[in-house]
Amino acid sequence: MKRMAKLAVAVFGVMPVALVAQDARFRPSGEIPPAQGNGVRQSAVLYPDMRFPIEIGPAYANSQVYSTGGQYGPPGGQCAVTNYSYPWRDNFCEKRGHANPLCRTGRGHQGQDIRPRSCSANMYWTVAAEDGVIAQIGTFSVTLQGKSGAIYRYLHLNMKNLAVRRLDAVQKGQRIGQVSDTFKPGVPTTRHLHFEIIDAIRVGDKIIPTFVPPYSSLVAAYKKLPPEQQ
Amino acid sequence: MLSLYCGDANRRKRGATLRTILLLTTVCIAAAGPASAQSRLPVRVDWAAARQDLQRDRAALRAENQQFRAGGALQSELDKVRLPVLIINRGPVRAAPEFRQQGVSYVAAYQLPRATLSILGSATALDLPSGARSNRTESAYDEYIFTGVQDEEEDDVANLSFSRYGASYVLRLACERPEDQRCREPGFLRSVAAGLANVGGRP
Repeated sequence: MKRMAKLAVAVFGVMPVALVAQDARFRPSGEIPPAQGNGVRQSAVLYPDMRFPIEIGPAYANSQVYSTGGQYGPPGGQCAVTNYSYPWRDNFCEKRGHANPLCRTGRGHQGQDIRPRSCSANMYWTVAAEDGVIAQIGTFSVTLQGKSGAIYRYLHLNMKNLAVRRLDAVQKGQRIGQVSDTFKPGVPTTRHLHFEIIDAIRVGDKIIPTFVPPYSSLVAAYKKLPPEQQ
Repeated sequence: MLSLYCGDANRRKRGATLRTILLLTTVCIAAAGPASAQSRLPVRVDWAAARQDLQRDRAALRAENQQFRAGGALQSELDKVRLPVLIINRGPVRAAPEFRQQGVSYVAAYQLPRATLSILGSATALDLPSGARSNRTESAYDEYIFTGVQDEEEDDVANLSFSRYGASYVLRLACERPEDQRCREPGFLRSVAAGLANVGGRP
């Protein structure tokens, strides 16, 4: 009896982790192929109330530079079926030159790339992840300051057809702009949403505003979409 | 009879074991819950220092900022902000902002020649779980963290982030032209940060 009880504790102690773990559609956070970067695994849902930032699914989170058709990816076009398929992959710490203190090397990507339902530009709307204010509009991005203080950034939007203006108040789920492939003049990119979150984190006694890993929160938010959109 | 008795004893043992397993399963699943929801906590604002600077800065406000503060409706908005409200009072920007508050956060926005500038303040912070925490100590972080729009960066907006009075602030500058040095080099945003004045906010 005691032996069985001990065995039960051992087995069922890990079962909840196993049960939650692996929806095969989503690779674990921080799982980045060694040649593509040095991921940091963290499964905490930092933004449990966040709305998935693309209005309708399905959507496909994967690298736009290391996937098919990307700058460092296998040959082929950006519309390859593999780019519009599961599983999702975290690319917050993939190998890039951008400053990112939460990545082991101090550099990486700064957000998550997400492809929309199909390989079409200017068709799928991004939406507010949280109630907030449109704080800034750039040449290919929109910045939303959430009511909580978190800052959400949406890059590569169709800037000619935004649904918001600077300083507009927005509600969670409200349209912002369409997923597109806008970028710096003369620099190509794929049709995708680069979604990033800047937030204040505690480091010792300091408060540091920096990029935070969005992947696990995106997975949790995505799972709240209607089943037919996943 | 003996064998029947033993059989009964074994069944009683299995029953007890199954009950134990079921109980443990229930406890474990209940304990697992949803994926861990991380806490967002209010920062500890140094209101004493903020009030001191508010007194000092009030006496030195530029005319456009005095006008900005003078409006009764604006004062009630400032009173709703739970962190010191910093706006530009010295340096290269001479304008009053447009202002939006959200209680624990605010945006002050400026239209500049060929650019727009926003100040984003927040009175909350995340306590990251151990696996996600930075592997750097606090001393490794510069007081001001700048990212520009250099060719190798993915961004179209220059960013200067810092903490003051225990709250966090981010200056974001969007330039119409990518070659605009104000967005490529930290000097402009640093001078903006140096010229900020405290005009309100309350605990």
